[in-house]
Amino acid sequence: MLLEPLVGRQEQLEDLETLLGLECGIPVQSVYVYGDSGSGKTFCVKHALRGLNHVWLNCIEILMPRCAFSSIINSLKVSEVLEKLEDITKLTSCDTSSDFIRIFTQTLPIDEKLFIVFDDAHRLRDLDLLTFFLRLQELSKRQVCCIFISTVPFSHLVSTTDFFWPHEVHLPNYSQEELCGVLIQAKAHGYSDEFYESYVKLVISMFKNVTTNAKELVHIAKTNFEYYAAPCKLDPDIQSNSLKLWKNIEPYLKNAMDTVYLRDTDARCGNSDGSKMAVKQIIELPFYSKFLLIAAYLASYNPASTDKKFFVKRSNREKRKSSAIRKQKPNYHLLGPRPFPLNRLLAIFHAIVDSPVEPRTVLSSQVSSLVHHKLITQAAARDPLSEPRYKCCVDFDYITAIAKTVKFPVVEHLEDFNM
Amino acid sequence: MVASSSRVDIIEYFTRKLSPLSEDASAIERLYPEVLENLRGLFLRCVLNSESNSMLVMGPRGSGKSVLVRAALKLLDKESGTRGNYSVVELDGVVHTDDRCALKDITRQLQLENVVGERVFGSFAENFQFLLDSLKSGVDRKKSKSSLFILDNFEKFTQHKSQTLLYNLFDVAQSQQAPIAVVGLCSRLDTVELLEKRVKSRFAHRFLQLSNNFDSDTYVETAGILLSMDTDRFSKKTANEWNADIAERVIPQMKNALVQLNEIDNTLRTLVDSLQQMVRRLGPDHRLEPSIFAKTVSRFTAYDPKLVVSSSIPALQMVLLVCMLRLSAIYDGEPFNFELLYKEYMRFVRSTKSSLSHPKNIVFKSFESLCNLELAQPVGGSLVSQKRYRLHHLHFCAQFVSEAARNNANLPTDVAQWISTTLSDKALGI
Repeated sequence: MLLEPLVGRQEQLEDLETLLGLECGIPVQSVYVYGDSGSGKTFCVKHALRGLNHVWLNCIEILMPRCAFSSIINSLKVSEVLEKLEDITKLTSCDTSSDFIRIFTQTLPIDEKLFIVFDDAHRLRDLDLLTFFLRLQELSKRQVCCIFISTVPFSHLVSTTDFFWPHEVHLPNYSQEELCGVLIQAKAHGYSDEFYESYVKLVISMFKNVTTNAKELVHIAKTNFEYYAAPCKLDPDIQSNSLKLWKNIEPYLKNAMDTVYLRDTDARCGNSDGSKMAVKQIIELPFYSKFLLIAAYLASYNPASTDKKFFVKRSNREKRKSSAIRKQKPNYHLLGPRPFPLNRLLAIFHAIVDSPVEPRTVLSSQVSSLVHHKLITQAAARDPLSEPRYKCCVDFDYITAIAKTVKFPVVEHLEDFNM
Repeated sequence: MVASSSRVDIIEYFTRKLSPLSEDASAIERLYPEVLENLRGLFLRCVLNSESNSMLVMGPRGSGKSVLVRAALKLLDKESGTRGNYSVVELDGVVHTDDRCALKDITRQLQLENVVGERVFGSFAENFQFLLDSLKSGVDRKKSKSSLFILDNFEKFTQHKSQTLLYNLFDVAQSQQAPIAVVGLCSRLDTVELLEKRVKSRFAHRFLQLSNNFDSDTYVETAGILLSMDTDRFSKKTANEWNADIAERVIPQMKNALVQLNEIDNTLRTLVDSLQQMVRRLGPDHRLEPSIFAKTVSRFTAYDPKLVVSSSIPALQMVLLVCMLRLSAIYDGEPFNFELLYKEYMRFVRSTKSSLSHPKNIVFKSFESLCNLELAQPVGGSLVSQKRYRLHHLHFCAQFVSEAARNNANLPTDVAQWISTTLSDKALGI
């Protein structure tokens, strides 16, 4: 991660440091630091606490109060890293809050300061535990301060104003100038400041409307710089030609937006477009399974009343229905898949497969293997004895890719596309 | 001006005075002299005359109940003939979540661990009685040491199984088996109603109220007391100079902000918390800066945390917020899923031809980060396996979005314009 110096967070850091009484004095009971992800919350707190006695906990670890109590106590008592299995006896287990207070007051000297950081504090919805840590200084009579880091304001955690309220410090999202400063810190060697700065500005201008998350942008800027700088190796004069550089880097950044920003590392290599990506992720399925999956998709997204229209070989007589009624029908692609009974799935399957019918046992085992792959799920049955109902969980891109491999025109069979 | 003691000393002194570790109760002494006297009398009678009693101290959170009890105990300690004749047991409903650990802590605080040793008791009452008996001393075991029980967060103790602890405490107090005083601190006004009948009938029904209902002059004076310097700690000259400065310069300048704060939240803890920033930012010339306090108060009053968070989000997320509003207006407050939102977003892209057109998965990621900020939250459990179709509720209103859009500096002009026209669209009725 980033290191010194801190950009655009001086004011907040100063607030934080005053509240924590780093220079002198007793820290306040509790501080609540919040802001959007990637706005430097963790970084600010780490910066403030560097070199100080502190315990860092992530609230995702706190399955029950005992986990929090034990890990705080142990990190106070056991300073060295445990390597051997026998060392486990050095660890203390601490079950209740009264035990915790007792051991805590014994362990921590009265004139020593301690900071306990709770990262991802929005997970700490257990109000009793929250109250306990918010008032820890008062309860333990030690110079301890609890710092909570979270993305949501404190008012989201508690439903009432009649509650112990911590000191709040808010970190706003980075502005464009601040982001520029943050990104420049990760400058690659061997290039001039102006060159890198213009690159950073390009990246920010590209992403500013989508994200201001510093973590994401630092990563994107780092991974794409080599493409930006590549033409300069061939022709040093190009360094000053910003238009050419922009033309060169634009497709890469666009691609980064579609892939790296979404953390899709597979598709990183080469300029792959969206449809290719979808194909890549498809599990190789047996021939009939593909048809079963397509049938499941059709059953999920078409109302049962339209089955006749799509799957019965017939004359075009019924097509002349008034379109006024159809318009009121809900669009299933907007509302999500509907559950359907197994019989309907099989009926559609037999209608769309051209070859002669297969034995049913093989088919049902293939249905269950599709369920196993989470391509379709079994919907909650109203009655355990009734016919099982399923739901299709693949999306449209996926099913068109599957349909392409078996040359089945799926769009023509979907009600939403044939209104 | 206060040159003789260093800045660090002063900050140390005031941060301690304003922290929960503080020993100082001058504000309480000034504000609640009768209540304090009442409580001190109760303790004193218990210790000197072996008179048992029970009492509830009520007041909203942060009104100074704990400080009051601490002050009363300190006064009791100064009284002649009390020292060594009593022990204090402090329990807290947040810490002592069941009667078993409460009893363990009572044993520890009465310093009877050795006496109890490995003894096994049949019931809670038997154990408790044994503890009280152990406090008796003298030849005929008539004279007993008094014990003062302080129960913070009293309402939490009423949730314990069959209220055993409370029953035993009140029973001993009422039947005068041993000299104990039980003082409960609670913020709920209906706490007595939470007691079971048999517990309630043993409670002495004495109440003390801390209402925190000050007129503005008293409130301002309280702030002065909190900021004044004690002559014990600092030299007389230093303290006098400091206190004169507080009274003549700082308090008059703080007055407006103080009155404002009193109107919003009159509890003492809020006052103490708001003073923190100013005290901690003591200037190098040892002068307090009242403008810092004014800033804290203005932040306290005109500060909507949710609004602040959403005032700096990127343009795409802002557009999504407005789309959500449109959806909830169209569907009359029904929850929506991402596909519906995306359709609404595409309508925006078509109508404005904005440069803010992004593929579905990027829009989805923006939507997820809004969910992270809890501006929209999923309905119910994970019944729908696909995230795109999970229903969401929105957690904000139109006024909020227009305010956020106004405060947001990095919106492109066309987007800002679209937002303001959409929000003022009468036909949609947002």
